[in-house]
Amino acid sequence: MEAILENLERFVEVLAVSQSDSVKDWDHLTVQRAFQWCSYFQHIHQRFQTHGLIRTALEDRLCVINKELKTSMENYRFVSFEDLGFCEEILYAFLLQNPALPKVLYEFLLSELKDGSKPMVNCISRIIRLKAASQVLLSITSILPNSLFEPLLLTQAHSLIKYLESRTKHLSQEEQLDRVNEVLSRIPRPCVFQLVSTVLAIDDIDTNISKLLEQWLVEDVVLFESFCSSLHCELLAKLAARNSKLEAAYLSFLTKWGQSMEYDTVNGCWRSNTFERAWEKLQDHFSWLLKGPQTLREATQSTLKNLIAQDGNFNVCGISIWTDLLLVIKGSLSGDGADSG
Amino acid sequence: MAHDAQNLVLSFEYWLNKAVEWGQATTLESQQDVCLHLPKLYEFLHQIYETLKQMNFTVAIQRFPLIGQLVGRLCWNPFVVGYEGCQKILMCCLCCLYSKEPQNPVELKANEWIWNLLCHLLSPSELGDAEACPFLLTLGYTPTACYSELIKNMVLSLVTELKGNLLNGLNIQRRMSADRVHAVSVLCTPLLTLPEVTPLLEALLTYCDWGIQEPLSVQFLAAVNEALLQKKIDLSDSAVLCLWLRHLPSLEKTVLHLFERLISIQGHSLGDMECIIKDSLLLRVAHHPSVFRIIDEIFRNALLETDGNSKVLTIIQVFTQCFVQAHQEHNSQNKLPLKTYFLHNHPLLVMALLKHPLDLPTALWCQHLKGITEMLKAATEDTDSRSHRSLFEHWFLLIHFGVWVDIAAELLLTSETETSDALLWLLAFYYNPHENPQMSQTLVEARVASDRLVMLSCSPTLSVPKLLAAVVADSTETSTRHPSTNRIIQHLLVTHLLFSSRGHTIAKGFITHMTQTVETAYEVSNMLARTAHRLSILGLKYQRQIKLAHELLQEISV
Repeated sequence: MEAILENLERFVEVLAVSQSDSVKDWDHLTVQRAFQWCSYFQHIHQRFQTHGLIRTALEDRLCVINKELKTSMENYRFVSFEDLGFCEEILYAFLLQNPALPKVLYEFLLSELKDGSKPMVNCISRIIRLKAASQVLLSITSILPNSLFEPLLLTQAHSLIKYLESRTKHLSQEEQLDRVNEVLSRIPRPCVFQLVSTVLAIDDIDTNISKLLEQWLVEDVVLFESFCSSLHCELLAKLAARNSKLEAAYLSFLTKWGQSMEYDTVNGCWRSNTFERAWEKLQDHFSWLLKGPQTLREATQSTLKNLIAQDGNFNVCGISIWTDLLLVIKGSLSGDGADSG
Repeated sequence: MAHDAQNLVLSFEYWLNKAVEWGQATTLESQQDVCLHLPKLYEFLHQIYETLKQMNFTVAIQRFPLIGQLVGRLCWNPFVVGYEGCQKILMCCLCCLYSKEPQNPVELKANEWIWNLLCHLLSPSELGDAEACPFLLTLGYTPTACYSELIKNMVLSLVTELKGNLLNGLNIQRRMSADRVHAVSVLCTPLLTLPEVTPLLEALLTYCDWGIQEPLSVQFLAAVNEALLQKKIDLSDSAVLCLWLRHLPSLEKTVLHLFERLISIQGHSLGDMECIIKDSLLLRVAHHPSVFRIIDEIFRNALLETDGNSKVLTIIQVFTQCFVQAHQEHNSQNKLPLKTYFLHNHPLLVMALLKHPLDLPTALWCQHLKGITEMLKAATEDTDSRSHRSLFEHWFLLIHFGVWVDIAAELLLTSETETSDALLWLLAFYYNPHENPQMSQTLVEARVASDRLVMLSCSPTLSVPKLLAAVVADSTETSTRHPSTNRIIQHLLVTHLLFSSRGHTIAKGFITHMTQTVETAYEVSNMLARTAHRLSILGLKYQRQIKLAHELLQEISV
């Protein structure tokens, strides 16, 4: 077993080098040997993919190797156990796209494609067709309306879960949060918020990754505010319904928002100093919360009641924002009910 | 040749225009148009490739000045590249255009262009729209892993939509409309040989709406069937069944494909036939009555078209055996009784024929055959139902269970005579299912031959000339004989050589007399193979006959 693991380490290094400038030193023999390694590891993959113990040992070693190579190489791509099953095409694609590959080797790779009956044609065909298939399927979901669901986002969310899982393995709680911070800070906003919200919507709430993401969100108030501002109220209400910590943070964000608004006596309405914090938007947030499942609705109602009580329990317009808010929402909700009835 | 070249130039223009058109419009209609044209495009690209591989870049560019435009545009179209045939041939064309030692700036430029195009085909960029974040897709994952994951999710979302289920608790979606199902079926046609897409195929095939029109596109159904025939995809039995019930031409094509494979078997081995039949998807879903009926209908036509060719008879017999065996092995609560598959015939007759010889003691075979003959006789002589159609139906039924006819021939020569009339009648009916007087003439002639053979099997001095004399007593007799009588005599002779106590001593010497024309050699081989196969199922006690049958088959094929 140790021999296989050592070989694996050498092989992953070979894959890494195939993407780097160092490939300029390769000759025909190196390429041939690299492809022989590929067939060997495809065989290993085939043989042990359903063998729990050995597979875990290989996966653990891959994790260590990936981590090491990541620190020493820029743009390093992780090699997973599944990748071993297709390493021939992966190597081929890495080599072909590498501008540092010697011309004679590039021509060798091309000559393998020239005749449709060579085995290399099939292996490269799969990867090209997979890309094309992704594009075709994406166009099906975008060109035909009625698809509410965004597979690309979902895929990215799954990738993020997998990635974070592999990067946080064997770390202390604190280190894990640092690692999450580090990874997520590299993803531009608001993309990162969409992703995190999708993970929180699809992943079980008590998985480690969900907990880490939730912690990442609620620990930084400014970050959480931009999170709330960049997502739709419906999604936020859904997340709040799933997760009590997010619910609390969300309600306190809305409370702060309401408290920052002032009554404009001249025009008879509530105003804030920014467009993003408009009165109508605050209504939207609350009405989605009140349309949510029972526990969420009750929590929201009790928050509003407490806030009204703090303001003195006045029943007149223009004194407490919460009194006015509840009045408007109740009106619109019962209006909705009357419409649908 | 010049004409072909002219045609190629014309098609070149046509396809270049198409490629431009497809590249500019991204509407559903234009995408469907691409999908529907792919098989034709493949044919054209193949012709181009055949031309290109004989020339270098400069000659190629003189011949097809716009080749780069065409190949480039097609490589950028995911529907074209997603289709296995076109993708591979485009790769080949690209490699043909590469110049190993570029002689001028154009060739240098072309080499660079080829590299860029290949990188484009492989790299994970340009996926999705601008808003989608490509960051994670390239976040340290290999491209293959990214695509697989993406396809898996998109397929899952479409499958969920087709089934109208909840997805991850996120959305409750409306069920897809028939129009949308149609469009999805067209658009995924190029991709259907990718294993990742299989769940979508299954969901499309098993999608049911109660409308009058078939929502799935015909091209899609035909392409799925073609991929199944070429074993490029593997689908569940229920999906295959849905495919054939939705699209009868696919089922017909599959049956014909099986027929072609069986007919083209070298030699006459029934074991080989069995392997091919058991390997066929047909057997897996033939338990559905409609499917069985269509298969049987095609058998019926084959029989009529070939005028009862012996290989066709054997194919029907072997297929029925495999079908009955599969039916018995299939443990399902709601499987139909076997007799319901033969609705045109009397259930008692069907039951009797369905009986496997091994399920009856050998001593009862004669009685059983007598029973079968009586039922057949009664059915064919019944004046109410007497018609060509009814006669044919009974004969067709008997063909399915030809093994009992072979047993009848064996018993006719080896056992007591009290049932011999019935056995002879069965044999005569098998070879000449016509009404009197033809049938009576056959019966009389066959009786004479069989009596002589029985007498000879008792004779201690059997020889080739004696046996020849017995069946061709005088030349007038043979020339006026009904052709079917000759086939019966042939059958009896083969049986005699294998089963009579002294037949095997002269078998090799005699067989050359029976196989003088290609036609008779074919018939005799077929009969020997059938007998050898039957005996190998019945058990060890026939070792000697099986060995002899194989030796004789060898003798004939030399």
